[in-house]
Amino acid sequence: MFTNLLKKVLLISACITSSTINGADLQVTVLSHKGNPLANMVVYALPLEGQQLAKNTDKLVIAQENKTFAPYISVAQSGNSILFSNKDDITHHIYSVLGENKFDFVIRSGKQVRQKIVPSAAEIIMGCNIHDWMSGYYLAVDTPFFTKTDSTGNAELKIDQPGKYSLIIWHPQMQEQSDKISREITVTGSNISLSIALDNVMAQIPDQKNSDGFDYLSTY
Amino acid sequence: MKSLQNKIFIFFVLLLLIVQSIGLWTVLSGKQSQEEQEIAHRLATAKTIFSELYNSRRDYLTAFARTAANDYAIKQIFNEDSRSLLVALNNHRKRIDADMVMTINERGVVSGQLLLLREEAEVKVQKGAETNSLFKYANWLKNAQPQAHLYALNGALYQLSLSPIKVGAKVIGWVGFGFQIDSRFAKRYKMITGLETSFMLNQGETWKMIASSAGQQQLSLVEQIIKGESPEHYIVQSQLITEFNNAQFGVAMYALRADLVEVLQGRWWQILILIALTLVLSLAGAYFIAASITKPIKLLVQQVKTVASGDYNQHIKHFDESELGQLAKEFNVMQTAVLSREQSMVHLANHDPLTDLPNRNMLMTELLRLARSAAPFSVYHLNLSRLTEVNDTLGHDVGDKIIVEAARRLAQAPGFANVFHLGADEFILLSEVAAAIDQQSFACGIETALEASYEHRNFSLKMQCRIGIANYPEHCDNVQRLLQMADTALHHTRKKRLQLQVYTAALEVNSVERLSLINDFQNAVSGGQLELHYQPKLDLNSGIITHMEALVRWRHPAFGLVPPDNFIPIAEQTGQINALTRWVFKSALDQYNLWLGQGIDLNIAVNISAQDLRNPEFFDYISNTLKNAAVPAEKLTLEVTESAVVDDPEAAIAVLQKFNDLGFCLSIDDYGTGYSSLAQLKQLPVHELKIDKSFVQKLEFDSDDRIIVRSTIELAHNMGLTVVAEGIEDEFVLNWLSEHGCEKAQGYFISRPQPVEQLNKWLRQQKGFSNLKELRC
Repeated sequence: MFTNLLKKVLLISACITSSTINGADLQVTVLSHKGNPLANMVVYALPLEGQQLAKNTDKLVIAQENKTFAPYISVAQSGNSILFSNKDDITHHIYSVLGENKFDFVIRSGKQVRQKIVPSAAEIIMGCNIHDWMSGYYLAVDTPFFTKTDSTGNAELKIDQPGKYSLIIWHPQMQEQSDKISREITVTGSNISLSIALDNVMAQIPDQKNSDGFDYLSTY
Repeated sequence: MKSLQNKIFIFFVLLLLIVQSIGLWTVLSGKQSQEEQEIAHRLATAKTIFSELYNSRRDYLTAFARTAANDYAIKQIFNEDSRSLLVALNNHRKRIDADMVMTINERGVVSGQLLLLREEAEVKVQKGAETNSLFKYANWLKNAQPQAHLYALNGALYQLSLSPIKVGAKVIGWVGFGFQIDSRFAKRYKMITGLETSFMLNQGETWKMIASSAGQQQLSLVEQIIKGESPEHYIVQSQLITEFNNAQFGVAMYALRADLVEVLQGRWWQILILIALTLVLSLAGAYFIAASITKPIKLLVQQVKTVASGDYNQHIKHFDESELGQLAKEFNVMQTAVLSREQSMVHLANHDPLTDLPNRNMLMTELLRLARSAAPFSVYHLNLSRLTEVNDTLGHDVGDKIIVEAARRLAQAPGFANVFHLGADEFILLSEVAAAIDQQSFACGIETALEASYEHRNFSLKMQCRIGIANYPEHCDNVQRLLQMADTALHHTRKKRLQLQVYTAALEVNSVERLSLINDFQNAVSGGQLELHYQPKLDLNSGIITHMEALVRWRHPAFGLVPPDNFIPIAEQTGQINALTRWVFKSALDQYNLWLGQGIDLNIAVNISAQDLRNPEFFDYISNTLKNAAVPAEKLTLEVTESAVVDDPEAAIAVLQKFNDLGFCLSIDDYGTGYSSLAQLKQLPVHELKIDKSFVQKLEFDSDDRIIVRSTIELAHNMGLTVVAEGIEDEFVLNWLSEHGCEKAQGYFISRPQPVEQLNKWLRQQKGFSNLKELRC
């Protein structure tokens, strides 16, 4: 399976002109197994050769808006703290119960809560104990090169250090081991453009809506 | 037994039986199918109940599993503290008394499992054997939805509901709760449906019993049921659940058919008893209705019977205005009509229609009544005289008026308790006094009562009567015979022209003889028992005997000489009068010739009866006999009674004319008793009238008789007839007749009728016969 995927990648790579060593734009298009573009897929590249990379210190804000986690999937470099911002007119009880990064707190309407720093790469699965349908993911990665595909399935990474990287595409509903697939790429100097199609169908992405279909609070 | 009541009752009974039979038949015919329906319904219901029960347990578990999966506390410790998790799970388990609880982690490993073990009274919670091993059915976990399954563990079977534990949309594990499918469940189910319930599991080749409500586990039976067979004597229902891996779960529900039918049978008995009860009540009702309908009819019948038996005074009570009431009314009307008709009929039967006096029927009743009282009484048999004459001359309506008047007067006569009218001119009076002196005065009383003459137009009619009396018990104690005796006495008065005769035994002779006379007279003519006597007729002008009347006498071998009054009527009634007359005529001719031979020339008169005149051969016989005897016709007189001529005047006149032509002398006998009219008399070709002795006998004392006789003689002479008077019993009469121009006289004063022998002796002493020396017979 993996070799099959590799063949595809290589086939595509053959069409790409080689980039400069000093930096290159990595353009990735993520497609479904049927060839449709997939949005909101996390794309990040992990250095495989100990490249010294500048730290991304962007403070990530995860909003609670319309009783959803917005965005559904957040991605940030490890070592940063997370800021929760309740934009709803209702209280939320945000929690994470798995792994090292357990937390839970109540966040009142309009308040912000800064959560502690996520020290290392982790997949933090979040829920709201009040609104069961709310579902959010926070992915902490050990690299500054991360992004999410846009609505056309494209993602662009500016990798300024050449070398080998593991290009990882992650999504909680991806039906793969650890919800991700990876490609080893070598950044030289020239731009890389590749398209990755998934082998398997994606699971249903939760739409973070009350399945009762009765939002009694909105009319309360 | 065919009374109306029975008919109505039987009708009702039949109707009820038919209705009940149809009902029973319908019910019985429906019974079998109803039973089957009942059973089918019951089994279907049982299956539904089982599904409901099974599903509700399942849904209950599922709902609870979902709740537990959403328990934040569980989520918090799910992957961290297995001991705390077990405690928390057990707490949840206890809330619904689940038999099993388990958690499966994200990797599909059973992270916690608690089983409830029920051993007798003790209940233990144990750690499940599958703890820390991979969950057997990983495929179940692919669908992150709450789900229910059957779950076999350690030979026990559970209903297991699993619910995913999620963090947001992420499934981080599963929590499941289970109820064991055990005998408690089977028993509970049995309690609801009444069916024995067994659960079996087939995880390969063989079926294994898991639990049952029955004490004895009928393995083969249950296996049969689950395989869809229907063992005999059982009603069965089964359900097979094959929704879990390579295993089959079978539910068998069954009961002995007899047990169920017994319950139904009990209901049947109730229905049958109810039917029997209603039947009995209906029959009683029918009987009551029949009785109530027919009761007034019976009453009516009873009353009508009373009336029909003759008790007309019993009126039928009116019931109401119903048909029966109307019927009763009509009965009463009819009864009144019948009563009045019967009364009038009884009255008619017991009374004479003319006089309205009690008749012979009442007489007999009264006589019997008197006879019973044993007191002496007298029967007066009364006969009005000369009523026939009144009837014939003035008409029957006048006669009837006289009878009515006589009845009225008799009813007022003193000394008599009752007056009865036997019809025509005959009455019976009863007196309760039997003394002879009183009878005489009573008889006078009757005469006085009748004495006043009855005026009819210009006629003054005199009522006279004869009375015969018989006394009870002096003469007889038999009332029937007593009446005969009075009658006999009355007859005697007629014969003897008496007013009154009290019965004596002497009167009886003639009557007694009469019957044998009728019998014996047949031999009288042929047997030579008859003989002729002769009574002379005196010529009043010359004082010489010129005529003789031949009178027949019957010398009866036992009774001796029988007077003609006693046997002439017999001869007439028995049709022998012709023979008698011929014999007399022949004998008279012989005597004439005999006398002639002795020098005696007497005219001989022979009586001719009405029957003789009617006999067509009579004339020829007389003329032939006369010719044979060579006697001149003028030497014979034929005496015909006035009544014989009156009966059929034209025929009589024709015959008499023929005799007249031959030269016979014709004489009207008994003149004055036959009511012949002068017109008839004028036409009769006769030569002589013979005045009846009843006018002659009392001529000396009775001026009326003298007038009659004198005017008759004058009448006869004026018509050119000679007159003979009979019944001369004294010299006065003889002289009176002679003075008044009567030609001949006949009677005892001259001579009784005598046999020829004696007459001959007598004749020799008479004027004109003294020269006869000897006369022979």
